[in-house]
Amino acid sequence: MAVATQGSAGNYLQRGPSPSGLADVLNIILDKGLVIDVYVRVSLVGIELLTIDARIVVASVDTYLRFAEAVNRMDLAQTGNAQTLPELFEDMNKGGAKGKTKGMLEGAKEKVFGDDDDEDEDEDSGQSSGSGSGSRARSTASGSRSRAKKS
Amino acid sequence: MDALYVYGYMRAADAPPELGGGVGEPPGAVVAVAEGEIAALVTEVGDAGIAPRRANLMAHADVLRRALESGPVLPLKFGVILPGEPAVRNELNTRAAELARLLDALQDRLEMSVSALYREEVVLREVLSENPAVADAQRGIQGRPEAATHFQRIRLGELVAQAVEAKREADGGAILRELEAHAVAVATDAPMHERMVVNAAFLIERDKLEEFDSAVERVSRERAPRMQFKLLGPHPPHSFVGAA
Repeated sequence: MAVATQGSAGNYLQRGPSPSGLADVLNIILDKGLVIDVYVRVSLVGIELLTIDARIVVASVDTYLRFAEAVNRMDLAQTGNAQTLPELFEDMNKGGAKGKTKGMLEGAKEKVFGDDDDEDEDEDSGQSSGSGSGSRARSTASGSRSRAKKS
Repeated sequence: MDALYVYGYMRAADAPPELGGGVGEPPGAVVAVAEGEIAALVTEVGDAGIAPRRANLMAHADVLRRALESGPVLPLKFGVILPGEPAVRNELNTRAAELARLLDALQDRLEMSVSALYREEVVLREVLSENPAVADAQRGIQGRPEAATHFQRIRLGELVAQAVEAKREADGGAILRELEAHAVAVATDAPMHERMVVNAAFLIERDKLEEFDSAVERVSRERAPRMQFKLLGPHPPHSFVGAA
């Protein structure tokens, strides 16, 4: 279980011996590790897609619209002072619950994991409320899209 | 013959007799298949294989982390399934020298993950005050309906994203420079969130774990008003075996 360190500016460091949520575990293990030259049988069509999606989303129209909305919303509360703002922030991974910009992993996660996999909800990654769409990963993975191997 | 899900490798002498539950529903037993000096940690899975679901991803990471308590571990990528024990033994035989070398190289070296997010309002206020073009674009959509300003919103968001990206390069670079002084190696990843400043794995000598922790504590405290950090680990060197 992750433990947050409290400081004068609010939580600034969250520690944990192990990933306690799906977003963390994806970040730590996805697309990493030894491989076997010939995958005799691998049933993970969705994973390559997820990885690719995860890496392009930061420069997407969705991201732009989220930023625009966040900036637009901000002006309504312009009375604040940046020094006091940290108090308004919840734990960085609970922030999503406040309707802040939704991280891409949460979005990608819905795509691959669908909405029927929400037993044992992440307590530390802002879960989007089940969008219902829960579309599974596109089943047309093309091997040619996989990312170049990290050197 | 049953297919085997393979988590990773370790020295046969280190492999613990009991590793708890692994992938599958219900979780299957994790056993070590030893060939020479190396063992593979595996779980029998049915013909349908396993799905890329939360429980299985967590199980992959958990099994390897538990194994790490007994000795160095070489993680495989999530999702490797071999058709049976002979295939596993063949793989261990074929790569015996390479795996032994890697295990030696990673002895007493552990991975720590560090990520940081900009605090949303703080970074957006910085962007607004530092970039007149962003402030102009913001005024352009203020009070106007979303549908009428769709493309202006995209443009505004793009300007914000570019400004955040510039900050990310400067701030993230500085953080990496400070922390890599305490690490054997660093592997950076793409940001997994649009406000992510840094997303990196560090390979740390076991006896430098405390030193590294203190460095992260200091680096994050100095940046507390602007960022929130997360430090996870130690875990097996997922990010440092792939290049072999």
